Amino acid sequence: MSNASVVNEQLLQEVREVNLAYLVLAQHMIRADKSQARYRLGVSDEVASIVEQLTPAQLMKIAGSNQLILRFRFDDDVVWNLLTSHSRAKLAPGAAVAGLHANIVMAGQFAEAN
Amino acid sequence: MRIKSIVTESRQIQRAIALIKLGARLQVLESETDLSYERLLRLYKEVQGESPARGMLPFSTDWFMTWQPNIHSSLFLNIYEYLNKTTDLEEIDAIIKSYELYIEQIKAQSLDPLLSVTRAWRLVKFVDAGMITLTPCCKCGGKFVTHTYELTKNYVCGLCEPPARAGKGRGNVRAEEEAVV
Repeated sequence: MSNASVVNEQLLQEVREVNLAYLVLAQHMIRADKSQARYRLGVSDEVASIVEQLTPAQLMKIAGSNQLILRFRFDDDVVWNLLTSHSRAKLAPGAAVAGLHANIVMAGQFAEAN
Repeated sequence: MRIKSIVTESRQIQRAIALIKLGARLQVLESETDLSYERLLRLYKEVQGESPARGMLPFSTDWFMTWQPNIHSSLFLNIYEYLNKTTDLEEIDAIIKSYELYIEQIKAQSLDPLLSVTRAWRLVKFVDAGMITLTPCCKCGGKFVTHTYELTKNYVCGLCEPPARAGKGRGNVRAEEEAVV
């Protein structure tokens, strides 16, 4: 087997592991508290209900794909800039709250999206 | 109002316990449950091991507009609005759950929570009464707590343009100490 396909196989394995870890975590969170889990995950009520009902066998099957089943929840540069401490420079003394800026913007956007 | 159903009563007691654990004042409990004052007092002592604080609740909307409190209140209210829009929780349950999420997020940034659950509850009541609302910042698009009738067309939030002395007050002593270490 060539080196490239070994690397590729390893990547696929990691994708499956991330998928499974994510699904298990999501299911755990939804079962603990559905409404808080929906805030954390950013999913609709329907999706949350489906994930909640999945059996372990189904989880394994869904996770065993070559695609990631989760993706970034924000795709505009504003949030990215806030997250990557872009705005912290001018807030040096009050940097403690700068981290909340991204949280506020994200929470507001999700409220609109759902 | 008298409570007829035992199930309802038990649910209200659970709710009251959750609120007491988060540090709510007795006035919040009185307003959000149908339990009698005496029972709430007993419950409070049982859960907290001490008598509740006396005196009036903070009643001003101005506190929510000062720089740091505004950031904390905005975070809480955004979470609350999210839960309120996407779930069919009762108002007080949505307040409890969003306050827990707010505390989590503050702790994750290793900050001290500035917003008490009593103030958070007050904030939601102010929003219900139309005195306070969320206004989008024209720079970052994040929504922040403002008075309802303020001029908000070109509103810029306190994080995009922090005031000159932002973060230099007493509130940030801890953060500065940590920065030195």
